[in-house]
Amino acid sequence: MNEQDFLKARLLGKLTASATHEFQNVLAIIKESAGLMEDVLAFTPMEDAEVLEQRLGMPLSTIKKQVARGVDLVSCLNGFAHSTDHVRCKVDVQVLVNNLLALSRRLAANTGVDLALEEKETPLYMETDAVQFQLCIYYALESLFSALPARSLITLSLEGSATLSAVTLCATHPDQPVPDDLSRIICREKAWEVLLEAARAIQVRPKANDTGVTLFMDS
Amino acid sequence: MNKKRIRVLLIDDEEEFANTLAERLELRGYDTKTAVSGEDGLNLMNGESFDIAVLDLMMPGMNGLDTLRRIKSQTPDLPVVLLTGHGSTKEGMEGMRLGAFDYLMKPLDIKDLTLKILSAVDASDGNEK
Repeated sequence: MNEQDFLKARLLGKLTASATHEFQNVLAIIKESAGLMEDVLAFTPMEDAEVLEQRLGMPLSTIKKQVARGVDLVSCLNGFAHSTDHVRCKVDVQVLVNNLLALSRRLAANTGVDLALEEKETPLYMETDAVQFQLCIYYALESLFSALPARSLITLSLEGSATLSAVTLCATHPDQPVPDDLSRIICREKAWEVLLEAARAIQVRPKANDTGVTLFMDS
Repeated sequence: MNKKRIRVLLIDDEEEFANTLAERLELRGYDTKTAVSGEDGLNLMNGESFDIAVLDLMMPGMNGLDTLRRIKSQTPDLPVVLLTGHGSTKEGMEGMRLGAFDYLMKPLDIKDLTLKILSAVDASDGNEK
């Protein structure tokens, strides 16, 4: 990434990280306020406390559930924003990919596709340009979005021990096999061209196959 | 049994957060004072004594780490629990290196906070004996 591209990405990252900090504060206030309402119900003896709890229990639980959902998303967005901090650095690939998937899930859902990451017990690290690496993963996903039928699932798995050797994106469908000419369809996608260009910059080698895409780390 | 109430100083620039959390701690039997900046917190500490400080790391003006340094130079034995945002674990670790007892992520769980307060105060009492 050249200096100007880095500064552009860095600006977006800095402003996003700053905003996520504010969102975290907003969510923290909502969470504490809901918690205080629960406390008042629990600590104040009153004749109709049970009735009140029945009426308020559900909305309070909804507030807490949605705050937890917001916190997860904001944390992923914060992590994503901080991935622009350095041109090149050592990254925990599982954390990076997990954040990216959480933030891409809505875009995938718009095309009827769901995303999953196969969890690894031990972390995998890689020294790379984190923004460029995420660009590759994202365009590998996008090249699959329109190639797959609705209700497909793309499962990402990280290969390697200690350091990353490949990222596999494998498509499945609950009722039907994936298109048998999937690799040909993928390679016709505009996103595939973008992926090839982005991958070249960080020595990543994308390969389309019958179940999806594999990104080999050549560096 | 007349158990002494733990005196908590809660320093956070988000006033509504600090006040709500203080009220929740009061309901659980803690004497809680709030301050909306590091300077306010240090001023409060000059006038009265506390058993523990709960300190937000990300504050405008005197930030959490600077406030922590000042607290530790003023009252080295006062345990401090830090509050950090998700994604700010580095600052939390740095705070522990500077003498904080531990850190918690915001938004926090009140049970986690009270447990942390109790263990910090216990550890501090143990050190004094």
